[in-house]
Amino acid sequence: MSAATPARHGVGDLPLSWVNEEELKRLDDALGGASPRADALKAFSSLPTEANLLFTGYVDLRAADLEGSTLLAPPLAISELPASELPAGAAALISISARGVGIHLGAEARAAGLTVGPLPGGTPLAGAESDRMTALIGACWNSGTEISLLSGSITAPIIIRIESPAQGEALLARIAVKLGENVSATISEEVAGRSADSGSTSGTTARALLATTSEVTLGKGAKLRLASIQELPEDVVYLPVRRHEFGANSELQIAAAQIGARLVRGRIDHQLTGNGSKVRQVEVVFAGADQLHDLTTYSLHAGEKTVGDLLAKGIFAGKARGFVKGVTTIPRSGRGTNSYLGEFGMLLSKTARSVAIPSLWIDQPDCERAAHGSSVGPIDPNQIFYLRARGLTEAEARRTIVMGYLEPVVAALPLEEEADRLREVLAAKLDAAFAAQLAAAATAA
Amino acid sequence: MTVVNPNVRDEREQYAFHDDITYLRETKAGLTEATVREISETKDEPAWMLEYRLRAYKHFEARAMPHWGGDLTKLDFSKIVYYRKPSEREEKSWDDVPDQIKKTFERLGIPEAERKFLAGVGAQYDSEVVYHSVREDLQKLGVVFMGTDQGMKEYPEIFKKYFGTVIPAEDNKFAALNSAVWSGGSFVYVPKGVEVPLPLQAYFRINGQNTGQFERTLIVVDEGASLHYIEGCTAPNWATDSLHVAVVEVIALPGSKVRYTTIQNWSNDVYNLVTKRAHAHAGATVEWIDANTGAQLTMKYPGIYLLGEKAHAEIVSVAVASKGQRQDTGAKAIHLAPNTTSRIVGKSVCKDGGVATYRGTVKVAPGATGVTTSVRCDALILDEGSRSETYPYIDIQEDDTSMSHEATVGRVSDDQIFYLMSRGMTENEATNLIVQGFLEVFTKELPMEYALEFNRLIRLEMEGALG
Repeated sequence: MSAATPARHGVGDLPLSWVNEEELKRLDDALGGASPRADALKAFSSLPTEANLLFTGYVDLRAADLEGSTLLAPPLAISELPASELPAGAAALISISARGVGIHLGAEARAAGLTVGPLPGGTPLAGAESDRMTALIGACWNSGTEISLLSGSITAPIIIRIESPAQGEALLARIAVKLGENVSATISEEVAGRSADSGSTSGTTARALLATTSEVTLGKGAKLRLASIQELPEDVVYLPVRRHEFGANSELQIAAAQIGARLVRGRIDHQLTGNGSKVRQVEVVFAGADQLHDLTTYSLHAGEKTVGDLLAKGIFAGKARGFVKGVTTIPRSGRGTNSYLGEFGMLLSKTARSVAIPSLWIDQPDCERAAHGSSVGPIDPNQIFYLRARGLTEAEARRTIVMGYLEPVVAALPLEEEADRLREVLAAKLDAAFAAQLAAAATAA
Repeated sequence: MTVVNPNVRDEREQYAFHDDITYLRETKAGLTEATVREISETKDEPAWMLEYRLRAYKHFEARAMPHWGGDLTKLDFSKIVYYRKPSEREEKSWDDVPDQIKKTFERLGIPEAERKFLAGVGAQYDSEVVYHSVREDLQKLGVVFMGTDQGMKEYPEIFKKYFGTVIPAEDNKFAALNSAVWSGGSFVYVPKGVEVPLPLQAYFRINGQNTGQFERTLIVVDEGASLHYIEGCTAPNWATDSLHVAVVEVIALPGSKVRYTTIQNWSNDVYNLVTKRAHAHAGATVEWIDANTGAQLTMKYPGIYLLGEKAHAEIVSVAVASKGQRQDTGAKAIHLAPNTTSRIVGKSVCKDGGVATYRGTVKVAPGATGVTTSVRCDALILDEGSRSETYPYIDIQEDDTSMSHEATVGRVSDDQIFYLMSRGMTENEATNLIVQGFLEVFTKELPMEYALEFNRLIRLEMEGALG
C-alpha cells in the first residue's frame, strides 16, 4: 500500500502493526509488566471493538488511519521542569509527551506530600480484560505516571499537560491518581498537540495516536475535582480511558470538554462501590467538519446511597458525528441510589448526526431516583426572536444561545482562567461552524 | 401471606385448558426444505409463494440467532411442529366450525364478543384460520377480512402488491422463519374512504404441544379509510416450549388511520418472537397499542416507518414480567419524510424475578425535516430479584428535529401503599391499584370491554405478588 493513500479498513479495525509480542517484550524490558501486558494483548486480540452489545455492535473507526505508525519509546526518567513553566495559581505541573514526563511541584504541593513517579510496571490496568481499547493501552503503554496524595490536601490545581505525538507516532500514556482518606485535590488536564504539518519527520501519512488512561482511586471521604479540556489538532486519533474507583463517601466532580481530534473513542467507568460515594459529571462535545466522537460512560452503583449525576451536551456541525452513550447499572447491593443521566444534542448542520443511547440496567427497586433524559433540538427560533428584539444580530443571538447551552459545563471548570479560555475556544469554533453553514447555504442557493 | 381475590381466582384456568384433538394434517417435528414444500403443497399455493418460502428458509438457515435480547439457547427448532391443520376449511358461519374447536373459542368468549361489539371476528387454531366473518354492511362497502391464505387466493393483486414489502423475508431470523412456514393470520383490506366503525378482532390460540404458530397478517388501509384491529392470544400451559413467530405488515395509505391493538396473554411456556411493522404514508396515522403479559420470552418491537409527509406514529407498549418471564419489548419510529411526528410510551412492571426490557429506536433520516418525536418509558420494579432494563437508541440526522426522551425506573412507594391501606385496602389490593394506575396509559386506549379484560389480567398477574 502506498504511503500516500491510506488503506481502507473495516469499521471496527485498528490497523496497528506494533501490537505484537516482540514490541511487548521491548516495552517489558523498558517499563516492566510482562504478565499484565500479555493478558491485555490476549484480550485485545480476542475482544470485539464494541464488547457491549446492549446497544450497537459496531463502532466506526474508519478514520483511524494508523497503518505504518510507530510506537514511541519516550525517555523513562522523569525530568524536572523549570519553575517558570508552572502556570500562575497552579500547585504543580506534570507534562506528558513524546519527550517523556517532566514535572514541577510548587511549594503547596511539596508541603502537602504530593508525589509524582513512574508507574510500577506490574500495575494491572483494570477493565483491560473486558474492553478492547483499554486492553490496547494495557498491552502497549509506553508512558506511565503515578500521582499520589495520601494525606493533606491541595487547594490549587495540579495541571496535567498531555501533548499528542507527531504524525505517524503513537503515545499510550497511563496516568494513575491516588487520593488518600479525606484528601481533597483539583486536577486540570490539558490535552493538546501539534498538527500534522508542524514537525512530522516520519514520512508517513499515518495519523498521530494518543491513548491515555486516567486511573483514579479515591480513599474514604476523598474529594477530587477533575477538569479536562481536549483541544487536539483535528487529525489526531484520541482514545481516552477513565476509570474511577470510589471509597466510602468520596466525591468526584468531573468536567470534560472534547473539542479537537479527528476521531475520539472514549470510555469512562465510575465504579461507585463505596457507600455514599458521589460523582457529578458534565461533559461537552463540540464537533465540526469530519470529526467523530464515540463516548460511553458506565456508572456502576454498587455501594449503598451512591449518587450519580451525569450530564452530556453535544454540538455537531459540518459532517460531524457524535455517539454519546451511557450505561447506568444499579445491582441489588445499590440500595438508595440516586442516579440521573442526561444526554442532550444540538445539530448545527444538515449533514451532522447525533446518536444518543442512554441505557439503564436496574436490579434494585429501592432507588431514590433512577432516570435518564435526552433531547435533540435545533436552536429555538423563539429564543432567537427574543434576543433579536433586544437588539442582537442573528449571529450574535445564535452564538449567545449556544454558549448559554454549553455554559453549565464551562462553569464547572475549576480555574476561572481556564473557563474563560474554553469560552473563547468554543466561541471561535462556533463562529467557524456558522460561517461554514452560511457558505453551504449560499452554495445551495 | 398470599392474598387471593375470589373474584379473579378461576379466570386463569379459563385460558389454561387444552383440547385433545386429532389434526387433519400435521408435519413432522423439525424444519427442512421438505417441510416448507409440504406446507406450500398442502395449501395449493402459487409457485411464486413457494419460491418466496424457499428463499426465506435459506436465509433462516444461514442467519445467526440474535445475540441480544432474551435467552434463546433452549429454543430447539427441531422439536417444533411447524404445521398443524385442525379443520378442513375456514368457515363463515359459527355453526359450521368443528364442535371441538367451537367449544374452545366459546369458552374464551369469542362469539359473544362478536355479537356485542365487533365488526368482524377471526379465529386461528394452531396453524389454520377456522373462522372469519365480517358484518354484512361492511362487506357491502368492500371491507375484506379473511384468513391470509384465502386472501392470497381471492385478492391476488392486492396481496402480491403488498406482501413482504414492509417486512422482507431477510429482515431478521424470525421474519425469515415466518416467511418460510407462515400459515393463517388475517388479511384485511379497507377500501378508500371507508371507516370501519367497530374493531375487527382476531383471536389466536395455540393448542398443541410443541406447536409453532406462524401467522402472517397483512393489513392494507386505503386512502382516507380507517380501521381498528384487535388481536388476542392464549395457549394452554404445556411445560414444553411452544413457539409463536408472527409477522404483521400494515400499510396505511395516504390520509388513512390504523390502530392495531394487541393483548398478548400466552402461557408461560411460549416463545413469542414477533415482527410488527407499519408503513405510514402521507398524512396517515398508525397506532400500535401493545400489551404483553404472558409468554416466557417476548421479543417484540412494533415499528412504524413514516414514509410520507405529515404521517404520525403512536406506540403505546406495556409489559408485565413475572416469574420466569422476560418481556423484551419496545418500539421503533423511523422518520423518513418531512414534518412527521411520533410519540412512544413504554411502561413496564416486573416482579417475582421477571425481567422487563424497553428497547427502542427513534431515527430521523436525512431529508426528514421538521420532525417532532417524543419517547417516554417508565418502569416499576416490585421486588428485589426482578430487573428493569432500558435501551433507547436515538439517531438524529436532521438539524431541525425536536426530540425528547425521558425514562424513569422506580418502585411502588411505601407512602402510596400506606395511604391506600389506611382506606381499607389490603396491601395486595393497594399494589394492584397502583399498578393498574401506572398502566392506565394503555388501558384508556382500549374499548371498554377490553380494558376490563386487561385489568383482570393484571389482577391475575398481581395475585401473590406480595406474600
